Amino acid sequence: MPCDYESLAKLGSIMGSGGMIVMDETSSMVDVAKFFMEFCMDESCGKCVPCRVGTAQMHELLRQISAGEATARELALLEHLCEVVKSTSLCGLGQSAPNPVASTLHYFREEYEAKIAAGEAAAAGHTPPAGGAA
Amino acid sequence: MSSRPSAKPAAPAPSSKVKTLTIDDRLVSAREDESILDAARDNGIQIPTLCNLDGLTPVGACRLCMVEVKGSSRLFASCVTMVGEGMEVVTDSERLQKYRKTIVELLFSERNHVCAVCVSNGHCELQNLAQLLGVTHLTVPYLNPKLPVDASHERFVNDHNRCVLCQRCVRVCGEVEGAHTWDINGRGIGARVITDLNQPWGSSETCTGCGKCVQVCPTGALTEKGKSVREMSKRTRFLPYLTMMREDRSE
Ligand code: SF4
Ligand code: SF4
Repeated sequence: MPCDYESLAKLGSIMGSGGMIVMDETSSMVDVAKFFMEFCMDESCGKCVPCRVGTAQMHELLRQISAGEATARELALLEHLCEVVKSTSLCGLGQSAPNPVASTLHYFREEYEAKIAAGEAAAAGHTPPAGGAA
Repeated sequence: MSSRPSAKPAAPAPSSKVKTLTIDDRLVSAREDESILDAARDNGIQIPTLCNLDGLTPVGACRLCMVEVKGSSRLFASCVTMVGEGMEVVTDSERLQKYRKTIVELLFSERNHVCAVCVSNGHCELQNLAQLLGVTHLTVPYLNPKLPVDASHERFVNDHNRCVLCQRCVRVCGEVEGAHTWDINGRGIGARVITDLNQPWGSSETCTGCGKCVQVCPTGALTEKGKSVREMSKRTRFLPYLTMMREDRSE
């Protein structure tokens, strides 16, 4: 795969500052999305509402999903916020903040669904949430 | 002919050139230096706003006034997008309504809005927007931040729990009063309005005590002391009049 703007765009990625991260199959894609969302939340200047509050909300939802505390409702809300923040943010930071969530959802949706299944089971009272008392 | 909107010029000199465009399928004409928002309002078409206020420089921060422009997949904040010849603007659609609702929900989730005990209950622009857009409950989780109240000023209170970071106080103090007491400190979800270099409002050396910030603040964030629940109504429409009087006097 050539490393140029067009090829990266085709993969749903961007050149950014030219950095590249190598991961093996043990990396949790939900945690990867959470990591990038934390970056965007910290870097948001705070001027416009969707980026300022939306990135904080998406980060919290990703935390809940990763911790096995979320149900299908939280996943749907996350996808909705991705759309709103992308479409209404003032600058490129907010407009591209949802990208890592969108692309991990596109390529690794089953990882999200496994976390959601754990969350649904916990909510239904079958098993306690990971690391927490029921 | 281009339907691509351009950014608002820094120092708008009144123009006599007229552009013709359609807003919600209505043919309208507007001066070329008018924003889509102003052109819509001149023609009786209401677009929801929060940070915008007549008499202050528009900043495009709240994103509630976003509109669709035919030929572009992007949305445009109508307060900072100038009209263009042949432009076809849609101010109300299912998509826009959905986004506006979510933005208002995000604002309610960001701070601690307990309307029932708020001095601005019933006179609040955020509350009005919730009613207008049908926000009856939140789908996003409350962030419940722990925030202080600054009651150090003799006559006014600053309650961060109710602030929506619209920057109206910052703009009115800098642009109209000329004191520049207010500013925004921090970034992202940690941003807060501050007085002077983050000193208590009561100890501010620049504040003239004029109270303009209190009057233009859309919510119960900046209020007068001594007001109880529901008692704080504001006068937000004095700015164009004030500017007109000043221009008259300087002639
Ligand atoms: S500022 Fe407005 S929305 Fe917030 S609590 Fe007061 S009345 Fe309610
Ligand atoms: S204190 Fe009031 S006017 Fe100032 S940014 Fe907050 S909500 Fe807006």
